[in-house]
Amino acid sequence: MINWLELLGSRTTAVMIEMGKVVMFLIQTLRWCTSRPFYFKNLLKQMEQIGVNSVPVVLTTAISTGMVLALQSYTGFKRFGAESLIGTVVSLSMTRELGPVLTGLMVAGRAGASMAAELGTMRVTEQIDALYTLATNPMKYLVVPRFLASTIMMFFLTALGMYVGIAGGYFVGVKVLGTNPVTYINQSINNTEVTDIWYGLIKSLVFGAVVGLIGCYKGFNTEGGAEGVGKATTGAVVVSCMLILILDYFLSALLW
Amino acid sequence: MAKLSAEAKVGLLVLGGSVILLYMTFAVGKYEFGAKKGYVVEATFDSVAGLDDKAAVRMAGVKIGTVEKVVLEDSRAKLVLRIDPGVKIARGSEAGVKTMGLLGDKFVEINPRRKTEYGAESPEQSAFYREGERIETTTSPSDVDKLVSQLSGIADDIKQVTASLRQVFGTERGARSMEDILADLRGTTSNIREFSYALRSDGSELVMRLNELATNLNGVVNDNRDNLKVTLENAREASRSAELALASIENVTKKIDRGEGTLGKLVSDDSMYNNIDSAAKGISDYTSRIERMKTIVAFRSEYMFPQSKTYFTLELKPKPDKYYILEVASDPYAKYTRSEVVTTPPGTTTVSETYEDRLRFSVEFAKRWGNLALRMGLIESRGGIGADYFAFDDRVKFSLDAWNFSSTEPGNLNTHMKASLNYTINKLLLLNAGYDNFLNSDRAAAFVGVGLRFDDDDLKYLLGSVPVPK
Repeated sequence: MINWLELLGSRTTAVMIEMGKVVMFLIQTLRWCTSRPFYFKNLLKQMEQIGVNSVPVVLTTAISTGMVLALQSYTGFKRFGAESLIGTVVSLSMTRELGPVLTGLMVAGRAGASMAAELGTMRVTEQIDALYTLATNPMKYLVVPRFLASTIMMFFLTALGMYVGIAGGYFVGVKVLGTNPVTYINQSINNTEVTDIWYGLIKSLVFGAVVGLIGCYKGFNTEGGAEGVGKATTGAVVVSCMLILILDYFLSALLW
Repeated sequence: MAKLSAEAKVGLLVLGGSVILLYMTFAVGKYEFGAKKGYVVEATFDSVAGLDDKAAVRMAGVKIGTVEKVVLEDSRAKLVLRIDPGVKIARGSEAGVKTMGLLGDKFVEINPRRKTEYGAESPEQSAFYREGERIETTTSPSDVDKLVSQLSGIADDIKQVTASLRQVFGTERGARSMEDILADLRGTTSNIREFSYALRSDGSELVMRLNELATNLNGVVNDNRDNLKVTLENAREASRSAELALASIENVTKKIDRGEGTLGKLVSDDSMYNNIDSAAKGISDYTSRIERMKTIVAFRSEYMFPQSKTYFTLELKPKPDKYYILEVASDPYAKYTRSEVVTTPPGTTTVSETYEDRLRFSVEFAKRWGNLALRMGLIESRGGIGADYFAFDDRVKFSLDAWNFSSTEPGNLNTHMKASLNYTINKLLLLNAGYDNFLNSDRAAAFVGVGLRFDDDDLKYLLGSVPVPK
């Protein structure tokens, strides 16, 4: 019984300590974001790594989601003759929910993992310690560019994803299922507000920060050789995906 | 094709994302700018059953306007309808609240009066509704609950009637009295039969008497023939003089109509009416311009580590999409002086650089399309341009400014660019943050600011009373 209690207590403290460490890591990152020197070259490289290289994945996910959404809602709406509402469903769910969440998950899987693996390898091969000896702050040199790049790029990737998803829904709804194109567009536009788009993009900024933060944190705190790198990579993907889904609920509740 | 550099790829992604974002917000946004088009009519309903602002107004199923406002007036719903210009609603048309399909949106349907019924009731009323008038006949949407309760009331009534009928006929007494009625009827018809028999036998005498009466009447008319003739002649005379009088009246009215004589001028000459009308229109135009103009006064201070910069802004908005910005800013880096002093021992020079605090002036003209506004004019006493992007009902504003394109100041040679994010907390407080002069790395600085911003009504009347030469 006592053993069991001890186990529970130690697990809880471990989780709390881990959370505290993540928050401290975030605060440090934010602090280093605002002070000189800025490594613009690194930022740009990370933007390419995280943003540009994720474009195909994000676009594929978004377009197929939009198309499936149109197809599925058509079967449902047809039962009570409300096919004209497909446009509304696709555009609202892409802007408010699926655009940011799916982009977040995709980038977490692609870029978050590579971030953790890269930094983890640098940690176990003591390259990060070497940076210290070269009077270079690894937080500024490695973490800040990745964090900023994933936050900024997530915003633009999400905007692209939303648009492409809506376009995919339009293609299926109008060209494949043959609903009225004018009604489809009117229904999409009339029932979507500018704030819907903005709330989706605010979410995407938070998700971008989560991916960058968790990827860097896991990589930075890797221990124990090649196995540790593997664990860090898995952990980064799992934790950031879970955080994205949990935060998604709270952001949705908070924003509207 | 040359391989794209990393920079170019990132730039392309950012540009593509921004363009798509701008396009989406424009497509989705419902912006109405400038003077609102069309004219306004009102209609009151007992109930509008959850009709909202911006609902469509339709005639024969075609959209002809929108519901501008729904307000409560004397426990009834008053709708202000904005009708598209060029659409005429015949006087006496009927307005009703309808639902599109079973689950669809609510809208206002205008049932026009048929063409044969057109035409003004009285000369001062036009055949169509004009600005500000009220559609008299309205039908509120049929309330299903009310309909059901009415129907059940009717059913109750019918039940009562049938119940009393049953009471009359169903009982033994009822049957007996029915029998009595039938017996009476039988008696009456036999009486009628008897009467007709009697008439047939005594009829010839009745006809003879009628003949006699006719002969007597003829005699009376023959005796008075002369008198009748005189009477008729008098009547003819009277009608002729009435005709003459009417002709002279017609003459006078024709003259008035043609504009002859003073009365005629007053009645027929349009110019006086036109003069008065245009004068009144001019006055109302001027006052409505002042009325429409929004005057916004703002005061804010930006702290840019370690210096601070204070702004006083006056925005004049004659139209929401076209406005003027006047701004005075105290700039800590306004005047730059660099002096070299040759000191002893000779050969060594001390360079001293000082900045003086000065006021800088901005005068900008801004034009807004949707949620994007472009500005140009003087920014901080130099030529410049700027752009604003608005979001969240204009509470958030992202601005990018560029000015001082030809600077010669050392260390500040590049164009002064400033990016800032403004957030209006409520009607009074505003916060902003941004990055100032980021093209000049020596002078680049992040800043945070706080300020007050409010709509000043008194100021606009003060400005309005100043005569403006046209």
